[in-house]
Amino acid sequence: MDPNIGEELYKVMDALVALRLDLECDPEIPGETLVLSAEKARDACDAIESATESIKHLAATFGDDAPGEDPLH
Amino acid sequence: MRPRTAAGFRSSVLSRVAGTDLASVVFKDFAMDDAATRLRVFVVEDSPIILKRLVAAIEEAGAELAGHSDSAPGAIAALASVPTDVVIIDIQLRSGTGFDVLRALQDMTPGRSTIKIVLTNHPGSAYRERSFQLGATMFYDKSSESRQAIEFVHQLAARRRMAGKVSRNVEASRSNHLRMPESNNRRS
Repeated sequence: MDPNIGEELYKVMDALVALRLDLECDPEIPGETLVLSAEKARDACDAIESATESIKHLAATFGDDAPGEDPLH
Repeated sequence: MRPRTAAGFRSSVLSRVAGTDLASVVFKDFAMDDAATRLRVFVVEDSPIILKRLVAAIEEAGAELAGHSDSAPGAIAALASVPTDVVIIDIQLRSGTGFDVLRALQDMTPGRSTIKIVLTNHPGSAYRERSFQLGATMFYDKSSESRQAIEFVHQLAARRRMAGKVSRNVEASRSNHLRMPESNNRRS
C-alpha cells in the first residue's frame, strides 16, 4: 500500500477513536446521562474535520477527481 | 473486552485476580518510596487528537503528565531522564516505532519497572506478541479498547493515591510514636 494512503487511513481511524472517546460510547453509562459538554462537542467536530480531510486526500489519491473526466459525485 | 496481557502474566495472574482490579496486581511491585507522588504518565503518540484525549484522561485520573513525544527517538531521550511510572505507547510514530521505545526501556534501569501500555491501531497477533516480547505490560486495540486503557490508568492512579495515604498514615503514626515518650514525660 502507498505509505501516504496508509497514513491517511490511520489518521481517519485516530479521528474516529477520538470521536468515540468524546461521545463516551460506553454501554454502562445510563441512557439519560448527558455526556457532551460544549468543549467536547468542539473537540468532536475537530475530529470529524480531521477525518473528513483525510478522506478527501484519499479520494484524490484514488483519482476520483482526475482531470478530463466527469466527476462521479 | 478483557485487556490483553503478556502470556506468562496472563496465565499466572489473571486467574488469581478474577474479581479484583488488575491495577492492584500490576501496581504491587511499585516502590513505596514513590507513594508520596502522583502517578506520572508519559505518552508516546503521534496523533495530536489522540494525544489531547489521553492528556485529558490523565488529568481526570488525578495523575501527572510526565511528558509526551510523537517520535521514538524523542521519547527514548526523554524517558532516560524523566521519572515515569507509566508509559502509553503507540506503535506507529512520526519517526521510529513503539517497539523501539519498548526495546530502549528494557535497557534502562528504571524503565524495566515502568508499566508499559501499548495502545495501537495494529491489533494483530504479531504486533501483540512482539510488544509482550519487548516487555509491554498491557496491549490495547486503539479502535475498540481505548476506553479500557484509560480506565486502567484511572485504576493505577487510584492505587497510587491509596498507597500515598497509607504511606502518610504510617509516617504520621511513626512520628506520633516517636513523640509519645516526650509528651508523656512532660505530663508526668
